[in-house]
This record gives sequence, structure tokens and C-alpha cells, in this order.
Amino acid sequence: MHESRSNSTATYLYGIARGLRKGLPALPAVGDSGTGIRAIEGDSCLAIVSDAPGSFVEAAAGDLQRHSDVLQELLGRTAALVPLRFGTVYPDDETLRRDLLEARRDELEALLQRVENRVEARLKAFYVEESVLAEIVAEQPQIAGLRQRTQALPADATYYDRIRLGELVASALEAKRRRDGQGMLAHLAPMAVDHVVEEEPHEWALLTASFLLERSAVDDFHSAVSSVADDAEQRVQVRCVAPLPPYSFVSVQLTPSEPEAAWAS
Amino acid sequence: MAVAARGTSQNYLYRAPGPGSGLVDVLDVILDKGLVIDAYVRVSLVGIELLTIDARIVIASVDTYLKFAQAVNRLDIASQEGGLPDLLEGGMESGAEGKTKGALDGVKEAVKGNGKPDSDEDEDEEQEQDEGDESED
Repeated sequence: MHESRSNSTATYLYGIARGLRKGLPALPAVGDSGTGIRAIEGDSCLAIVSDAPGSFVEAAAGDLQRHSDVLQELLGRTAALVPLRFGTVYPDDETLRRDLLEARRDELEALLQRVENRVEARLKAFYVEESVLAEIVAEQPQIAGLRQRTQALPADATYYDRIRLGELVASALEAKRRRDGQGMLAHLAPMAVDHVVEEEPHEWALLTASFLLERSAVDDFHSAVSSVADDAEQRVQVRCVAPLPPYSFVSVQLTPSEPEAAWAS
Repeated sequence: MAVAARGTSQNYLYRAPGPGSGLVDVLDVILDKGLVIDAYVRVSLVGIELLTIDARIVIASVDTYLKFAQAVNRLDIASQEGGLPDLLEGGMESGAEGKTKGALDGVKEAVKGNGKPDSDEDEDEEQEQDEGDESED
């Protein structure tokens, strides 16, 4: 930590907003400082912030929740909301106003326009392990054969067979994932303004994706996901959370022209 | 946690997020997405980010292959064919939620400063997830 700054508080930034209605949410702030959520006014947008202890560098799980809650509540009260990634702290309000709201005005404007009246839907589809494995064994005689052999012999005697078996299963799963995932996207992507698919799947993940939706399209999107889940039957579990602040569609990095490296530890 | 099942499918869970609702489904977007402004302090979260990455399974590795082999070998195909619906009665809780909950538990560990678990513990955790503590901060 740098001790160079004399003031003991810093400014935690949640997001950039426009078209605030109904005032700011009365929710606990990140860092649990006991002070409220407030706004710093720019020319055509607001920076939503709270005080953070100047020495505040380590976050607890509750802080993730508080960051999420503030943005979630703001989503319903604003026309456009650009959520910041968790953990952005400015040394003070004035620096934030100067270096972000003024210096990055055009970039913020472009982001605000992109997300105006739009929200994110986060979709996760998982295979039911037992079902999809049974399917793979039934479809692939080579896998069924290797499975019988490795089950019949002691583990020590089948090490390479088991690797081969697992490799074939992984490959069969990947082929299914690609086919089923593309099928789901073909139904859902046309309903969205944009979408992103996560590249790194979890073990049994079929599809993890975010969709940028017009607010008015959220209900229809849920109906469409429900119908996709129907088609996938009980071999797949589908979860969807919406409306979320459009986290996945503002994931750009703004690089200041004059980095304040001395403060940023 | 404000969980609302809406929609016609038994295998579809829709959740409308609200203050105080769990982070299970959105942890990755909060940690990995959102606007980033370079050169301003990001709150120290190195341990958390490492753990969320660790929680992902690398598909192409010998360990993963052996794990898949084990999974396919412990399948009881006979009972599968006869009793598939029984397996699914746990519904949403045993499926997708279990997978993501592991990551959240990992975060809680990181926050407590327990460091990163080794891969063996990871596997154990996955098997024990369903008995895990649901409480969230």
C-alpha cells in the first residue's frame, strides 16, 4: 500500500448511468463503510459511487454481493447502465470526474448508447451427467466395448485403456456439446441484439452464454429458453438469469493517456 | 435466495435477480466482465480469480480422461434404461446449481484466506457439493 495520499477515503465506482429515476438505492456499500450510494454528475451521465476506506484493498465475498446488488437495483432505475467490473477504486471524486467522466466522455457515451434500454440474460446449460454418458455408451460401440473391458479387469491392468476410454468419451461429449450448443444458439441468438459464448466450458457444460436483450424482449426470451429446454428434454438442465446489468457487453478496457501509476498499487 | 421457477419445462430454472439474491449464477460475470479502467486499483481479488479458473476443468488432460472413464464405468446402464426419471427427481438442485456452487464455495475459501485447494480436494468437493452449506453471506 502507498501511504502517499493524506485523505483516508477513496471512491468506489459501481457503474456509469443515465436517465436515473426514483433516486439512488439505499443499499449497503462495498467495503461496508456505512455511508450511502451517491452519484457524481458528469455532463450527460452519472458515476454511481460510494466511499471506500483508503486502505481498502481486500474484498470479502459480501462485497461481491453488495456490488452486484447496487447495480441490479440501479438497472431498474436507469435508462442506461454501464456496470464496472468489481473492484474499481479511484483516489477521490475529483480524479474520477476529471480522468473518467471528462477524459473518457466519448467512450462512455458510446457504451451508454450501446446498452440503452438493454439488459443481459445469462444462460447456463449443463448435461445431466448420467443421461449423457448413457447416451454416449449407447451410441458408440467402441466406447461400450472399452467400458466392458475396463470394468472387467483390475484398474492397474487397464490404465491405457481407461485413458483411451476417457479420451473417446471426452471427444463424444465435445461433439455433442458443439451440436447441441449450436442448436440452442440458433434458436436464441436471433432474439438478442448481441451474444457472447464462453470459450472455456466446465466439465458437463453444454452452453454458457450471455445475450444482450432489449428490455421489452426479456419475457419472450424466457419463453424461448423454456422451449429450448423442452427440446433438450431431461438430459439437460438449463438456468437463465435476467434481467442483469449488461456486464458481458461492456467488457472493454479504457487505458488512460496519463496513467496514475503512483497511486495504483 | 429468490429463486423463481417460471416456464413450462421441468429442466428450466429462471431466476429474476434482486438485491440479496445469490451470486451463484452471476459470479463469473461480476468477476470477469464489466467495464475495466486501466491504472485504477482493482480491489485485491487475486485468490478469488485464481480459484474460479481452477474450478474449470481442462478438457484435454490425462486426469480428465481418467475421470471421464471412471464416470462412464460407474454408470449403471441397466438401471439407467429402467429408471432414468428417478435420477432426475433432484431436478435443478443436483444439476447445474451444484456445478456453480463449487465455484462459490471456492471463493468463500479464498476470502477466508485458505488458499487454493489442490486438485484432489477439488474432486472431493464436487462429489460432496450436494451436501454443502447453502448459506451465502
